[in-house]
Amino acid sequence: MTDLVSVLSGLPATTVLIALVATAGLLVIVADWRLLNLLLGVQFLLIGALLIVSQIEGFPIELAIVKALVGVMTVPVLYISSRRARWGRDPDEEDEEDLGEPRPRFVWLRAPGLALRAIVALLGMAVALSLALRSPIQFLTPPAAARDITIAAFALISQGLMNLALNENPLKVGLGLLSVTAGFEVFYTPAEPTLVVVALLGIFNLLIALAMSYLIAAWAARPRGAA
Amino acid sequence: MTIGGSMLLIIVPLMAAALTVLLRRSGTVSALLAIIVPLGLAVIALRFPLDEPQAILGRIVVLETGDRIAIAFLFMTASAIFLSVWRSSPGWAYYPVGLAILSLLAGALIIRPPLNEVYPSFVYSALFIAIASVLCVFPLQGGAPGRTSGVTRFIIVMSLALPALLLADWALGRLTQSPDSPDLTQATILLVAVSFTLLLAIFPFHTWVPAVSREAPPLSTAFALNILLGAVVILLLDVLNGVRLVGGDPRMLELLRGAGLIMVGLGAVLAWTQIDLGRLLAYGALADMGAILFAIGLASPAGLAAAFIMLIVRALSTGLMAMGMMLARERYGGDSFAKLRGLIWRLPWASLAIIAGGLSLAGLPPLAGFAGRWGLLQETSHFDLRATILLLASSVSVSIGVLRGLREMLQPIDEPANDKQRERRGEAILIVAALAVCLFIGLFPGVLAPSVRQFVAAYTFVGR
Repeated sequence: MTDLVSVLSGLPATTVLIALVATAGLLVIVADWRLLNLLLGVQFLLIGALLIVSQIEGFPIELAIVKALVGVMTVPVLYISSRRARWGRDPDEEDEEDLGEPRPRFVWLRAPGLALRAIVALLGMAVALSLALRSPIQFLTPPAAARDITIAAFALISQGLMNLALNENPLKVGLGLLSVTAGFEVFYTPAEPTLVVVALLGIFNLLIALAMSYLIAAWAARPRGAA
Repeated sequence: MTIGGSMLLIIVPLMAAALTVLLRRSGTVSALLAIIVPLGLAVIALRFPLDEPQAILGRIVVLETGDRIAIAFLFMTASAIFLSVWRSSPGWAYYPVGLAILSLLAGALIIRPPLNEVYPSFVYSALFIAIASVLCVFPLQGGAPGRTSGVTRFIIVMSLALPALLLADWALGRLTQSPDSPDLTQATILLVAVSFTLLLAIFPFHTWVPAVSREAPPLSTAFALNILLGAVVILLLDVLNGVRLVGGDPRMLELLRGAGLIMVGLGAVLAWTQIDLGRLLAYGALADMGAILFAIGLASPAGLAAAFIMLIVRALSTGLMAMGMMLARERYGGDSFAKLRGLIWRLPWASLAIIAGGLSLAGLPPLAGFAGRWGLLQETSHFDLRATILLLASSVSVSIGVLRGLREMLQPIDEPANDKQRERRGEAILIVAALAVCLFIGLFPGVLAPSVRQFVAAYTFVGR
């Protein structure tokens, strides 16, 4: 574990931040449920990495690891129900597929609304960056960490809100909620580094994943033609 | 750490939840446990002194007078809902989840910061309420295939409230260090207002209420509207009472009154136009919550007394209406007015429950809802004519909605209901008992007076 932390500490914070912002954006743009589950896991790992590489004064690295692990634990919960929901495909769509040719490999790129989602994600990111640069969180030191954490928090919250606003399917809504909460926690955990609060926030995240997984199962069992 | 005293209110429901999971194959035993445990705890909270503070997770657990009465009310309401839901096969997870929610809500109300803390932090309350809200998803969805839109809205709004509430608490901590900062004071008040706007389904975050009320099992909706939102109202009162910078600020009280009137207005405009009971219940409950918030915003003993009475009787009104709706949906596949045609000849007690519950929610005499509304109207009519008119208009609007439903219920039917479609004796007895209580409180509201007096005396922010 110490080796991993020292390797992570050597990473440039800006690289991790860019990767995190890109992942948050992709969670809005991508429609394929398998890829979304993977991206969610990557997002939580990057959040943990960012909290470590930012080297925030007075913030214990263990909490960053706990945060990343709890986040990653939500992925299997959502993955299992996504799989049971046949990756979000409409039952009618499946019948057509059974009769005709197999799905093209990159069909998700042609999914309806892709351009709209991309534009909305970019606009949301622009607003988040502008807000973050105008009003960085002032109580964190060093200032570079404050800037990175502010950008990460605003980017995650904005992309999470976009997912909430654009979608009705429970997986995307769940991803939106987890992103908003994660964005808030990126800011709040260094501000309130209490183990009990972090644990309760972890329970909250896991329960959101569990509730959304239950809703995914109910959504997948919808009557035909109700999509 | 010793377990006893007020800690029982958190631990015992959790233990009962675990037991109901173990006993899931025996539905009757689980149901009896879920009914008796909260009822017993409510009696214990009212009868025995549980005021000795106890330490837990670096905090103290203490049961103050206001919270004692509020928790007893929440536990009694939960027990009544568990009793009503018993025969409707709610699924094995209903009772454990319901009991776990009760435990969390009790924790949210009685776990306090340690005495040496510089400000009355409500971090744990926020987290416990947020976790309880997420758990509410399970009874609200109720296992119905494809019905997810209302409950999805619910979880979005309730989850977004957590960051706002934690930020409000954080801002409050900073405000305690520099109490003369007007910007920080304003930011704190704004954050508290935003968090409770989300939690209490205040306009424009109210949209989950009609959607859930239409889709979810009616008694689960009643659970969320009364137990969850009831606990949030008590938390709001605790924050106003404990945080002088918030509760003593006239802007906060103005915001409360404004939000309350908007919700009352929403009910007045939309309730009478509804064509199904689910949405009618939702808009009636929203208008009622508006009246409660307006009454709290008056910050007077009479206003707070009216708010508390409305909080108690709304559980009775919505519960009664939900019982009738549950039977109508089970036997006739829905609660739209078109499906209610001739219902009174087929399900007379369920129809009576719907009508009496609806009219009580509207605040009409001689039903229970009238007691609180009358108190509020008396208090308001002295100084705010517009608010009085709006409150009356919402009562009229909900009543018109109920009467439109009654008109359909009274339509003649071609063939009488068979035995399977009629109410069972147990269901009829429950409805009659609830009707009797509703009528009794409406005729003799004085029975609530001792509890209401104690409750009001516990909140010193009124009349500051």
